[in-house]
This record gives sequence, structure tokens and C-alpha cells, in this order.
Amino acid sequence: MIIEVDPSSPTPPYEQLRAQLATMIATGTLPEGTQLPPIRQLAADLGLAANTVARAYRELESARLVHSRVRHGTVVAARPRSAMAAGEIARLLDDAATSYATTARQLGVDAQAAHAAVARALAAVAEDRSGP
Amino acid sequence: MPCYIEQVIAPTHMLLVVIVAVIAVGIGVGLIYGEVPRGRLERFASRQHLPVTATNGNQVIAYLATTRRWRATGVIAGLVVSVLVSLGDGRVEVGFLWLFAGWFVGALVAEVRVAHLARGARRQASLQPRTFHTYLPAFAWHLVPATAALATLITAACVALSLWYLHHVNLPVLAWYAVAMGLAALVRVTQLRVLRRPQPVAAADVIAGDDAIRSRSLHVLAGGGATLIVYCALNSLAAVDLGRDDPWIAAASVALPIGVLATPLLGLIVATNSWRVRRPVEAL
Repeated sequence: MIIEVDPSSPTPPYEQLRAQLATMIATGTLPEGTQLPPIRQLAADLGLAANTVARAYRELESARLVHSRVRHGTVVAARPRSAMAAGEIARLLDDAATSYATTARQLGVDAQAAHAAVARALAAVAEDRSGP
Repeated sequence: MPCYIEQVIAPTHMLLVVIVAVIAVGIGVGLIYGEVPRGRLERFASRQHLPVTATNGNQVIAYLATTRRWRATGVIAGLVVSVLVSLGDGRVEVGFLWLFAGWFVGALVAEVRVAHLARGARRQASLQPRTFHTYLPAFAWHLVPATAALATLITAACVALSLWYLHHVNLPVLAWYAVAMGLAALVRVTQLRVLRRPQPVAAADVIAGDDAIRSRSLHVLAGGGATLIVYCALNSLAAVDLGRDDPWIAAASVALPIGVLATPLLGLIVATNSWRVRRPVEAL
């Protein structure tokens, strides 16, 4: 499972982390009981300050999406009943696709090249997941 | 001191000592600046069950060069300090403990100096927690705290016997214990640092190389650290001078040579232990 931070984004890094983790938890990509990496590990890997990651974790804990326990670290909490519905997932996917299509159009890329780029990205993500 | 390999040399043989020292330093300099032999890379890959590729091969060679450079520097520093200390007593000695301590300090410095994987323009990270289970057996991970506990027991026994027989405690007993505890803390901090060294998302073979490097570092720190901690405890034991015929003296005279020989052997076994990095299945 990969998480990404864009340093050039106007969205603060802690919010980028929080949003991605919240989405993964809501969609069940991170199931209940999954242990998140320690704050220092994630901060080191992403080149962020530990406080930044700690803030993202705190916000997730406030939203009851994760809970922290001594010796167990930060663990994904039980999914609330109002978990993200299939329709909501489809809407988010459509939004992301629209955003991508707009960028592709602005770059003057034809549909075939745009589809190929998506296929490559999906393959790369799949490879990351099946990696060591 | 029982753990010393002593070579008491008469002043007339000082020239021979200088020649030997020059040769030793020459070998050390060769190790510091020389190329990493192919055999070392193959040995590393074999111990870690690492399929070497063009990319991770360079990564491992850079690691081996860094560790060898600093460890060799440590041994030379240990040699120099050992000779200088003994010269103060009007003789020339090469103390094994000095050499080994120098090597280990070099190993610690090397772990700080080892370059981590570079982050790309996109800052990506895996959500998989890195735990010691992935990189070395539980026995090796708990070896340093276990030897620290052993050092505490030995020192407690030394203190109790000293108070019982002599009504005071020799300062070296406590000094060696303090060194052992400081060392245990330093090794643990360095091990955690190795575990938390950045590992941004990269190609599978690069991650495998990075994992293998991490694993080997943790093995060396565990084996070397445990050896040095036990040596400190044995020095505490040797520092107890009850000055009488006692079963304790007899027991210590048996335990010391056994410990002096067995401890580095155990450390070597742990440090060179073959290990395949065990990556947990991604949670998906």
C-alpha cells in the first residue's frame, strides 16, 4: 500500500496524508486492525517532520478512524456503519477521472495516449502492491 | 587482563614493532581505500539470499565499502590507542579488547554514514510497518538486552561478594558496568536508527537490496554489541580481587577464559548468520 505527498501542492502535507488514509480506511482498502507504520518511519520515508505525520494521525484518531495503543502502535479502527457506499466510491472515481481527463486535454494528449498512461499507472500500482 | 593477547617486547626489538605497525597500517589503509572484492559481494548475497542485479549490486557495494572503511579505521585507531596506553607502562602490548572496541565503534559510525535510498520527485512511502521480525531472528534482536541483563547479574554478584569479603567495592567493577550499560543503550539506539532509515518507494530489486543491507547491519550490531557487553562484564569479574582462596575465585578463573573465547564466537555466529528478509504480505 503506497501513500504519496506532493510538496508543491497548496494542501498541507498533514492534510494530504489524512485525506489519503481516510479514503483508504473508508473504502476498506485498509481493513480494521491494520497497523499503520510508526510516525518516525513514515516521516523518514516521506521526508517530513515527525510532527506532520503525528498531526495526521491525531486527526484520524479524532475522527475515530484509527486508535493508538501502547505497544501496538496506530491501528485502523472498526469501520463505522456509515462507511463509504459503492455510489460514493463511484462518484470519487468519476471526479478523479474527470480531473485526469481535463489535464490530458490541457496537455494536448490524445485519448489513446491518455488510456495508455492510465494502464501504465495501474500496472505500476499493482506491481508496488505485489512487491517485496 | 585475561582477554589480552600480550606481546611484551624488549626495547631492542622496537624496530621490529615499528615494521609490524607499518605493515598493519598499510593493510588497514588498503582496506579503507581499496575496492570491494567480488567475493565479499557474493558472500553478502549468499548470506542474505539476495538476487544481485545491476542496480542493487552497486547499492550493496557502496554499503560494503562504507562499512569496511569505517571498521578498518576503527581497528587502526584501536591498535594505536592500545600501543599508546601500553607505552605508558614502558612496554608494547596489543590488546584484543582495544582492537575489537575500535572495530565496533567503526561499525557504529558506519551505520550512521550509510547512505539511504534517495527520494524521487514524488514522495511516496509504503504503509507497511518495518519491524525487527522482518530483518533478523528474535534471538538476535533480544541478544543485546539479554547480555545487558547478564552484565547486571554478574556485576551484582561482584558487588555483593566484594562487600561481603572486603567491605568495599572496587571502582573498576562499577566502571565496567557503566560502560556495558552505555554500550547497550548506544547499540539499541543505532539498531532503531537502522530500522527507521528512510525507505521510499523504489523498484523491487532496490528495495530487496535495501532490506538486505538493513538486515546485515542489524545482525552485525547485535553480534558485535553483545560480545563487547559481555567482555565488559568479564572485566568486572576480573576486577574483583578478593585476595583469598575462595570458591568464587575458582569459579571465576574457570568462567573467564571460557567467556573470553566463547563470546566472540557467539558474536561471530550472530553477525554472519544467514537470513532471508521476510516481508509480510501486503494488507490488501
